[in-house]
Amino acid sequence: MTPNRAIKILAMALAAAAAAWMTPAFAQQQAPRPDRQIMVMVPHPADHFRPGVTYAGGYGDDLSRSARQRLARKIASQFGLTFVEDWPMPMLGVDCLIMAVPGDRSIAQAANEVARDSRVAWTEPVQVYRAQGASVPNDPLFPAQPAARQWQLAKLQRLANGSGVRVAVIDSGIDANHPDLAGQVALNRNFVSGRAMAAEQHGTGVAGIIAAKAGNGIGLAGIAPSAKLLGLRACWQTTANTLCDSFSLAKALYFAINQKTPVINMSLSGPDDRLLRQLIKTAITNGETVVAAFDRSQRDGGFPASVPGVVAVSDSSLAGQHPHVYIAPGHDVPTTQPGGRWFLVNGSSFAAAHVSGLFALLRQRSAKLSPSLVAQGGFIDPCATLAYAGLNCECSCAPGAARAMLRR
Amino acid sequence: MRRGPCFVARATAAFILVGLSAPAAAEIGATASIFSEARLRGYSLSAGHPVAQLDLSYDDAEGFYGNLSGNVVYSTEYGLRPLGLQENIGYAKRLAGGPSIDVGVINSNYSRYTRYGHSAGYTEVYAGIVGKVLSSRIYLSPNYFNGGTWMAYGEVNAGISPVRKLRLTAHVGSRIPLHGALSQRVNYDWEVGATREVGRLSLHLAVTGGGPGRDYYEGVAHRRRALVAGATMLF
Repeated sequence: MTPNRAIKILAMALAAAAAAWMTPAFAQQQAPRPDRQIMVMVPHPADHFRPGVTYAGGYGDDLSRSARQRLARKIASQFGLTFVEDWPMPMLGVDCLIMAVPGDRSIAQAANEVARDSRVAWTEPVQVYRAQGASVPNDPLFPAQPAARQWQLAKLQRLANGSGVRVAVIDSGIDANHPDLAGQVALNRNFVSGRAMAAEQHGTGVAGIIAAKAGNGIGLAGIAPSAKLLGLRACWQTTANTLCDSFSLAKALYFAINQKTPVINMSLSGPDDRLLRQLIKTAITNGETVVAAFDRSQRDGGFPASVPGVVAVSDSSLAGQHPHVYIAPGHDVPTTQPGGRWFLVNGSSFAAAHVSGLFALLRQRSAKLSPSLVAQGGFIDPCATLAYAGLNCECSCAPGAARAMLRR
Repeated sequence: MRRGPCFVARATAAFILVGLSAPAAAEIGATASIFSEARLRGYSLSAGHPVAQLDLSYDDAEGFYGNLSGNVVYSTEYGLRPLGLQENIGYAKRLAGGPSIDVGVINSNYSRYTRYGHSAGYTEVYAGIVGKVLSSRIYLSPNYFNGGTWMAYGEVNAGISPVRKLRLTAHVGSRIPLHGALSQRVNYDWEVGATREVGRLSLHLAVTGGGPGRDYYEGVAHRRRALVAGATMLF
């Protein structure tokens, strides 16, 4: 073949390719929507000789493909469908033709109509199947989260994700710009007099456990990733501790109650305070859920965990010791840290954050003003809790969670 | 060649009649192609000139089939001229194990614009087996290119699709003179190629060759090996 001839052939081929590219058949392949398609099976003729003298060995599929597509277009036109693509299956003796059904027609009816055509072996709707492997968020720290296994978090989040529920985090400052929290903090307000707003460890860690974004490919998944946080800074970080004063706490609590926040997280402990007690009682009377960390250094768990009606939560170190204390994951919990980082945390503060997240799930799915927790020996069974709240939850993870925690 | 036109007329009429009275489950295909040259069993049929080709096919659900293939050749000397016409009918049946058996007859007629410089033709019967990857056929002609000799041709073809819409093919064939041939020389030919589907178009590229000896046309010796490019439009 001379160069000039090769160029001519190439030019013709390219022109033809461009023309083919613009044909409707090719364009139709751009928008497949499986749940609006049917499979039309037509008999596949036995493979055989084609003349094709110009191309030794090349006699093959083009004429079969042409015949198949012509038949497909004819059937599609006759039944008001759109031919999408074809897939020969000689092993089964059929060619599979995919046809899109217009939006105003029933899939089953279209399949039945086409099936009556004498050219068609059978038809069936393209059906959607779901993988049965555990579907978990793609957050890299998710497998390391104790709640992922002990609470079967992925299953819980298929039932509820906290959408539409606000959770007040009365704590130190939250890093609202953290990539796992960006967009999760509806409001970030400072109630600490004389101390400028800052992103701090404790508050940022509690916030991440409650509502870190799930499925964003980074960090962890919060218990209620669609809940919105009210960051109410009433505490501040020092070199060794995170401290709060009663006035700051009172202002933050008052704000939360005034905002009718359904879940209030107080991962803190200190002396009993009349004003705070009054505010907490008001919150509970109003149907708000107040979750507090149990202080193991105090016999009664400290304040506000000891206030009647407050949900007192501890990590597994207190398992079985206090009948009115709920046990939740609180050891080596990965969570968010200021500056776009993540770290591991321990303690009842973070167990309480788990429970606040769980209440956000309950509040999304339950109309009850004060949803109850279902527990066994203090260990919360989140699935049973959701079931009790009126969800058709088939899972039950409390015994497994209890065993897992007691092994620690 | 005298019986060629009659056969052509009969076969064409039969093809058209079968097509017109096609039962509901029949499939009819049509393609138009261009190739950088037409090659037949290791030789250039079009003397190195490009060809355009029209193919029609009929496939019955019962296994009967027919094909009609005609092409024209383009040269700067003659312009566009008819090159050849092939008619083919056959029967294929899928066996329980998966492969198909394939038998049929093909009649080929070529004009004087081929490499031979004169019109010629032949009729062959063939039988073969077609599998998922491999296919093999034996052809037998009692009057190959009107030379008064019996000729057998055997071939093995392979085709795989490593990815969807791409097909890689390979072919080896051997032409064996039988009764009446002046030369008992056995010829062989081969080809490897690729076909890419692009919408309603197929693009072809293949390297083909054969032996022994060289290819002679238009008074000049040519290498048997050639690169063939082409495109097929589906209708």
